[in-house]
Amino acid sequence: MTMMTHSLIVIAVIVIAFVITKKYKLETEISMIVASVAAILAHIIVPMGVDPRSDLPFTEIVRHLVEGATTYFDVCLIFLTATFFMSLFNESGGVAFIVRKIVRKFHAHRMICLLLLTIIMMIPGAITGSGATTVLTVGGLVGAVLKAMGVNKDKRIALIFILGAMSAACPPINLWAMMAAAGANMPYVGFTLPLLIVSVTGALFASYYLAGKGQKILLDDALADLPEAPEGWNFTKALTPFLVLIVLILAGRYFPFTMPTLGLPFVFMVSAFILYFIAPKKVNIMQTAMKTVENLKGLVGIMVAVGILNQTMTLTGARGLLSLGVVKLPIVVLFSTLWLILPISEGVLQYAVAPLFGVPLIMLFNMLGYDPVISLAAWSVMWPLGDCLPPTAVVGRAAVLELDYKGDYYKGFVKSALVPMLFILLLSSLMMIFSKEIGAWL
Amino acid sequence: MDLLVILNLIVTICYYAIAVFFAYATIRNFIKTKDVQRAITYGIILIPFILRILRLK
Repeated sequence: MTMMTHSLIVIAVIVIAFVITKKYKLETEISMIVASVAAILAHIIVPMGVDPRSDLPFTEIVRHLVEGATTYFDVCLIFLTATFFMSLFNESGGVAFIVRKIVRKFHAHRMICLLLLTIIMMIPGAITGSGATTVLTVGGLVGAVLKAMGVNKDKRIALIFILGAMSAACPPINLWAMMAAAGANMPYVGFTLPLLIVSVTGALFASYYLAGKGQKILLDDALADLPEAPEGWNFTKALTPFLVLIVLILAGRYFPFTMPTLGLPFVFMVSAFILYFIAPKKVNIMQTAMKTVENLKGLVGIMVAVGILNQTMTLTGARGLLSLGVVKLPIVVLFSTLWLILPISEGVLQYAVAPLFGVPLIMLFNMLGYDPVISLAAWSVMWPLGDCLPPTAVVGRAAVLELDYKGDYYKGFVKSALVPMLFILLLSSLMMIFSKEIGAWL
Repeated sequence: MDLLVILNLIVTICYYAIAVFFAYATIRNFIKTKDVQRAITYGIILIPFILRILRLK
């Protein structure tokens, strides 16, 4: 038996284990870990032919599983701290204060109001990298304003989902790009502009396409649907934590030799600390942290599981074989199918798609002379669109939950989101095809 | 000791504190939940935190 056959069997075992565990309604992260253990067992049992490696002792198996769990620990910390910061801001009434102010000031100007609501929706995901966080923190409030604007329930949920997805794609934190770049030993540099252009264009198109037309905003109805902001909030208090956040991030970039290395989790925690002291309403920090962990358990769990699966696939040769398979694909096939493959694979594997398929795709595009940074940015906008697709549908489910949507998931929600999704996929595909030219221009 | 070195040391200690904070929140959720799958997920999440806090990884 050749090593290729061996790796092929391991991949088959991973797929079978994943499908069986999903059939028994196990969570994606648990399914991935079961698939990893099955892959290691297959690796031990199935002969490796001429491969000269030694047998895998039990301690080594444990080492690989445990070591894989820490692969994306830094990303997990960013995720948790950023969401903690946003949850603290939300529960202190900061989000309600800003949304109420926008509605009060711009209710007569639909276009400006939509633009500001889009910006509000983009911020949580942009700084946390999670569309679910956007939907869970500001989705409900923006949904209430959209209702007052006369946007029907299908379009409302479609818009909240797409804005959630685009906020996750928006820089500075795009987890797909970060994970794929880390896997390809490529620095996470040069992604800001391409990611910003596509995600913001997509978000604005979706906003104006789905909610551009409708009745005049009824101020009293809109304000009645929004939660009251606690007394004592003003714009200085609301914006100070964000200002601290931006200053600390930029200080590290502009004064690299005089500033200590803070890192994003530390910056988010400092901003959260300042927010806690200036917010007029004091919230229970431990309860907020527990709620944050509860809301993110699926996503952080997937990150840990993806690390384990990645390590296992590398150990067994399955990752190499998968990379080889992708690298050998004709470019025409990739261009004509990636817009479909990427969102679907995201629906199945979540963030795992970035290191699994992103890394070999980077190698292939780089080899063929395309700009790997621009191409990866394009894929990183396509991936989050799959977050409304089964079996995971994390952001889609969060939107349904948050907006208490009772309509048909596919015929109502997904169908309404189709045109903006196709627009974003087309935009990303064009960016991928012309990545070299765009890279030279940017 | 150089000021920058001291500051970086403080930041490193803060990172351990952040890890302890979220690990504690996860353990409390783990104890509170009655759902087996959720408990397993919290257990999975705890692995890197414990490794980090114990300075094993």
